[in-house]
Amino acid sequence: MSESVDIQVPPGQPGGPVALWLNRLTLALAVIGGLGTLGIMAIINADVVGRGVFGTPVPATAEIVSAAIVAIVFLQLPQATAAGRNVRSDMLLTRLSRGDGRAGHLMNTLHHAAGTLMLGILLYYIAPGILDSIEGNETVGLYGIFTMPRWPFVVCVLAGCALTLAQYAMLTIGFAMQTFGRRADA
Amino acid sequence: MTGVEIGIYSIIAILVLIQLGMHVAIALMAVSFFGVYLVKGKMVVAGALLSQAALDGVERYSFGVIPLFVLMGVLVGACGLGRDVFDVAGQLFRRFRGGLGIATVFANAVFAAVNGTSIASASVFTKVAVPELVRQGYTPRFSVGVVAGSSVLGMLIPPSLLLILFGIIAEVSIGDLFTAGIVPGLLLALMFCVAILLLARYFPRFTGNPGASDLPEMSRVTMVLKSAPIILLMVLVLGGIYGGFFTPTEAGGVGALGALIIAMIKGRLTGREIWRIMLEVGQVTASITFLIIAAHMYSRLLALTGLPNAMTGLLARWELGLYGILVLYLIAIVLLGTILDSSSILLILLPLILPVIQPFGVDLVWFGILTIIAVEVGLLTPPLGVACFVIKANLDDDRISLNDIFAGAAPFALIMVVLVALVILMPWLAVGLL
Repeated sequence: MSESVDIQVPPGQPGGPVALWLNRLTLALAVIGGLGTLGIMAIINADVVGRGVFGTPVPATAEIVSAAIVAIVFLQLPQATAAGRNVRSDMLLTRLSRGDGRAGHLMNTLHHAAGTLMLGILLYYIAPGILDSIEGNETVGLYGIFTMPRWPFVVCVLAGCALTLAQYAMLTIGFAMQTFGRRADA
Repeated sequence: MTGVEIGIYSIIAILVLIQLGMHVAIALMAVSFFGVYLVKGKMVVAGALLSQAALDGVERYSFGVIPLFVLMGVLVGACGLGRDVFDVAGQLFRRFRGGLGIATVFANAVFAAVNGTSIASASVFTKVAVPELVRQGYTPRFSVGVVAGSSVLGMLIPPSLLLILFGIIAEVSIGDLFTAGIVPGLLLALMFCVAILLLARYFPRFTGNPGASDLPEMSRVTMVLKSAPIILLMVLVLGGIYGGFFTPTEAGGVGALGALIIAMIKGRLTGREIWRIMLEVGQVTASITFLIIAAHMYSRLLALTGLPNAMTGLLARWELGLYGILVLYLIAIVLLGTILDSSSILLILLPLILPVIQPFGVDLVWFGILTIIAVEVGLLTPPLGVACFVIKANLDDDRISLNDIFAGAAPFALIMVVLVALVILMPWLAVGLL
């Protein structure tokens, strides 16, 4: 189910400066997400030790972890998408890829176009709410004990969502070029 | 079109799209969006559902630990702990016929106690155990079958990501689920071992004819040294949960830190390795959680169509009784398991079945264990046995085909069906320890 990058990404497709910077940005978000994961690990351990040994839990651990997980997922989604790691059944695709593979590429083009469309719809409807919560200075945490602003988390969601959209669009173009190009399959 | 009809068509649409190879999460999102639009007639409502599910769907403490359980699994694999425990188990069982097969099951059971996913077990033991099994004269088919079969222990013996997922969806205590998984998990390991002994004795054509173990004898000191890290980690994770120091959800965080420290002491973490681990954890986390978000959208659509209620009414009219419904449900899981992966099945099926079985007042912990075992059977059955795909992907041996893996895993899948029957007949197997 986890097909590797080399088969999925058309050769020679990550050309131009746009693609290059898109991929760099994707990696950067993934790194922030990875650091976020370590952050969650640190805060949970601090909470467990603080509670068990010193009798003082870290305030609002649950609330911060809950808010962070949404951000972390969306930070890492572009990279997972680019690497072809989104869960799918590749039975039919493997079968279609035999021969000159155009049928498989066409199917992949359609699937990634659907992904582009759905991420576009999601972004269209999710953005206004996120912008509101930034303007409204919303906070996460426990009121009166520990709070922090919500905007870093929701900005991550927004950025990840937009970049996943871009990655889906780029993959769609890549597969379309392979499907309809004259001698794309080098 | 009535709501219920839309609900039914939505299920068909999803199954077709997934079979066509669309990303499961995208298929779920698309069907939910257009389904809600058909029911409500307003794009805005459908859009609001998408954005709400994306923002709030996973905003819970129990979801926060998903990346940590993944991290723990990847780290434990990277530390070489799987290889160590396999070596030690090979020594322990060297006198038995089929000893190395039993050692694989045993090592998997131990490994399962320090990681929460079957996929991690399958990928580690494919690399560690399969070449060794083949070298000792087992058939390739049996070798991969043992690894595939015993990898399901990862999901049954706590900690387990699937049990966490079930606990979240069904709103059942994850700690109770973890406790309930222990006895069925150990029983399954035992049944696997007995099966291997019998197979090696009576069906040598299937297992191959291994000579006596030719592994170099290991000194007791080496055995202790090799098994010390994993035992420490096990004590830390399970001892912490059952000693009440932290919750099962927090075990992921503590276990990940423990695995990280062990990896650092063993000097396994080069810069390149850290980079690989980080990307791997991110990709697995994102793909699982994106799926959960999408399934969340879909469960909201289902609730909106009124299909779960209609199903409850229909099943009540058929007067199947609890056991009739259970049998139908378990068959549906195993069938779905042939085309969907485990978490998708839970996420799609549970919103439909939970309202149906609630009137019977069944113990949801018991129900969860049954569900997980049945789902795991699907990991081993073609055409979409995820565990088998993982094994194929990690295998450096082109002579072993996917069909061999499925054939080798078949006896183990059968044993799991027997275990499902046992847990139905004797619920105390699951809930006895609670």
